[in-house]
Amino acid sequence: MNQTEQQSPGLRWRKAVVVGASSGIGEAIARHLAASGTSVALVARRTEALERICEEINAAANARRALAFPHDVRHPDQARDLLQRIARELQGLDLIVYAAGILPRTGSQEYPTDKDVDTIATNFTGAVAWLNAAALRFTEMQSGTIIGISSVAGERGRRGNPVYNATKSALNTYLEALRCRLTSRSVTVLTAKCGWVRTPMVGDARFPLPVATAEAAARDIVMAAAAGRRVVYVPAWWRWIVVALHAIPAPLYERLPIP
Amino acid sequence: MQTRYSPASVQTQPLPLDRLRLIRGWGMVSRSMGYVYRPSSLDGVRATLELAGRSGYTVAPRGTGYSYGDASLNAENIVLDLTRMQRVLDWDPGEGVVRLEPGVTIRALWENVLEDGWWPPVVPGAMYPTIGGCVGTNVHGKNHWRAGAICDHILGLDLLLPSGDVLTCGPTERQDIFRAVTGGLGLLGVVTSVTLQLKRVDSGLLRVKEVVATDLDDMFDVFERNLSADYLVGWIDGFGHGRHLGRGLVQIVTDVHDDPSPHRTLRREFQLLPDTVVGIVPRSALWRGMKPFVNDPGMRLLNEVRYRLGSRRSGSSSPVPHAQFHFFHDFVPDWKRAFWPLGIIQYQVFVPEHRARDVFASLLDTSRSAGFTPYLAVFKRHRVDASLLRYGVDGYSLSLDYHATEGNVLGLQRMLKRCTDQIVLPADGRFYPAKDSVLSREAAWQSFTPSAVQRFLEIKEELDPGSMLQSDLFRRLFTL
Repeated sequence: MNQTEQQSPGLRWRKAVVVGASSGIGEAIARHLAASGTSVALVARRTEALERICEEINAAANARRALAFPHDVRHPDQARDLLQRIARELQGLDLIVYAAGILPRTGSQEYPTDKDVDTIATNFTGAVAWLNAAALRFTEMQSGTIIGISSVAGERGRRGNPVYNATKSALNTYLEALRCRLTSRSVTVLTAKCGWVRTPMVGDARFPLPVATAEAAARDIVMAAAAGRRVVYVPAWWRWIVVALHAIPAPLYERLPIP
Repeated sequence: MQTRYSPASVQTQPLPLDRLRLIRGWGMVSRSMGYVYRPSSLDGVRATLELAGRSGYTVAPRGTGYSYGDASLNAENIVLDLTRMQRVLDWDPGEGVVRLEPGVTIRALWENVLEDGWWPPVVPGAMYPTIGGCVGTNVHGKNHWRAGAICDHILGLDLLLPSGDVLTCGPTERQDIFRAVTGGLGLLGVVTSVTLQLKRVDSGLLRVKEVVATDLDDMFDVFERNLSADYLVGWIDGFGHGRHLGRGLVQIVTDVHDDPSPHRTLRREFQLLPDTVVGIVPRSALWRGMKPFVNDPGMRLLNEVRYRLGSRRSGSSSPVPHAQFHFFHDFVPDWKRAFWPLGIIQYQVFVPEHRARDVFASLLDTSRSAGFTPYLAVFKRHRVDASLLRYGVDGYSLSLDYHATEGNVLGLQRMLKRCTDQIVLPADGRFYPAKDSVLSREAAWQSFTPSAVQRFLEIKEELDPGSMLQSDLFRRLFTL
C-alpha cells in the first residue's frame, strides 16, 4: 500500500489518463474521475481548453489532481513515450480512456479522402498507438483498465459517413482482440458503444429519440468499467436498437434513409 | 496554479521501457512498477547511480524482495537489484569471519560455512533474503533476546554513497553512521560488502523440544521458564478464543554439543529436505494441496490438527537439522501461490514485557470480532536493538499473517490501523519496517520516536543530500 492508498483508501483507480479530454465524453469522464479522487492526466490537442479544465478540476479539489499534456493523436509515434512520461509524473497508471474522435460533416455524394484519412488517424490509429502502449504496460502489471469510447455507428456501415462507421467498427474489433489477449492477465477492456450523446462532436444535430448528456454518459461508462464489463451501451436501451439493426436484411438495409 | 506539464520535472532521458517490471513485496499486496537494473559489480552499481543522477530518477536498493511490504519498491523509478552481486569475498574458517557482497543469500552463506563448523549468528525465517537486505532491515531471528539482531554481529561494512564515494563503518568506526545504516532500509547508501562474525556450531543438529501452551498466559510462562534456551519460538492458533485464546505450541531449542557424527550432520546435503514427501509426492506440488484449505474453515481445521498433535506429543524432543528448524517458510516451495490473486498482509508488533500480554490478547480479540482471523500467529522474545531506526524492545512480539483478498483488503487495513493507534502505540509498542505495509506517517514516527527519525534524516541529508535513495516505504513513512 503506497502513500496515496493511505490518503484515499478504496479508490477504484488511483492514476488515470484520458486521451481526448478537452471536450465531450472525454472531458466528462476526466472530471468524474477527478471528483472521485483519481489523479488524472488529460491529453488533448486544444491546449487552452485543456489547461482551463485542469485548473477548474484542481480548484474544485483543492489539490493538484489534474495534469495537462498537450498532444495531437495524429502523431502516433509520440504516444508510447508520452504514456511513459505520464506514468512517471503520476507515479503509476492503472486506467486509460481513449476518447479522442472526430465526425466531419460529409455530403451524401462526397468522398473526401483527405478528411477521411484524418478521421482514421484520430479515431483509430491514435487509439491503436495509445492502447498498444497501455496494453504492454498492463500486461506486465497484471492489472489495469482500458476504456475505448466507440459508437453504435460501428455496428453496420451507413450512408452518412462511411469512414466514421468504419473507424468505429475497427475500434470495436481491436478492443475485442485486446480482450482476447488481456483477460487472462486480469486487465479489463471496456468498449463503450455510445448512441446519441449531446457533445460538441454532434453539435446542434437533432435526434428523434432522447439524447444522453455527456455527464450521464461518463457516469455509466465509469460504472461499467468498475464492474469489469466488456461492452456498455450509452444510453442502455441502444442495445435493443442495435439488435434490430443487425436483423435487417441487406437489400432492405441499403435502401433505408438512415444517415 | 501551474497545471501545464512542466518540462523541468521531466527526466532528461527516459529509461528503456523494457526495464519496467512489476515489483512486489513478499506479501504480494504491495506492488508498483520499477525500472530494474541488476549490476554484477561495484562499477555497475556506480554506473546505475550515475544514470539515476543524470536522468533525475530515484533509486531503491533491493535484494530478493523478502520484505513483506513496500520497503524495496520504487514506483516508476529505479529499483537496484543487487542479487547478482553474490560473491563470498573472504572466508576465515578458523575465526569464523566472512566477508560478503550484498547479494549473497542466507542459504548461500550457510552452505559455504557449515561444514567448517559455523552457522550465521542470526537468521530470519526463510533462507532466501540477501545479506544486504538483512543489514537494511537489521534482521532478527528466534534468538533475538539473547543474540541480538544482525547488527550486533557485523564487524564492518562498506557503503557506496550516491556521490560515488565509499564509506567504511562498523561498531567501532563511524559508529553513528553504522547504527543508522543497519536498519536503515537502503536509504543512506548501497551496502557493497559486509563482514560478519559467525557462530561456532559443533553439530549440524539442534535439539528441538516442543511443549503445549494451553492459553496466552501459559505461552508467556513457557517462555519465561526457558530463557536459557538457544532459540525459542511460539506458534499460536489464531482461531483460539475464550479460555483458549493464545493457545499454541512452543519450540524450545538448544544447540547439540554431543553429536557423535558431526562430519555427517554438518554437510549441506544433510540439512536439506528431500524433493519428495512420503517418497512420491514432489514437494514443489504441495502448494496445490494447500489451496483448498486457504479459507477460514480450512485453516481452522489445520490449526486444530496441529494443536492437537502437538499437544499429544508435548514434551517430546527430537534432533532437527538447523536448516529445517530455522527455515520453516521454505518447506513448501511456492506456498504463496495458494494465496493468489492478492496475497498476505503481516502485522508484527513488538511490545514491552509488562504490557505484552494485554496487548496481544486485545489484538487477537479485536481481530476476531472484526471478522479477520490470522492464519498464522508467531510469538517471540526480544531485546532492545542497537540500530537508530529501532524496532526491538525488551519484551515480546506477535506476528499475525492475514490472507488479503480483493474483497477484504480495505477492511483489513482499516482494522490494523485502528489496532495500531488504539492498542499498540499507547502501550509503547513498535513496528518493524520489513513487515509493514499499513503504518501511517504519524504512527511510524511515534514507533521509531521522533528524535530518532530526525537524526536519521539528518544523517541522510549528509550522505545523500539529493535524496536519490528512496522507496515507496520512504515516501509513505518519512516524507511529508
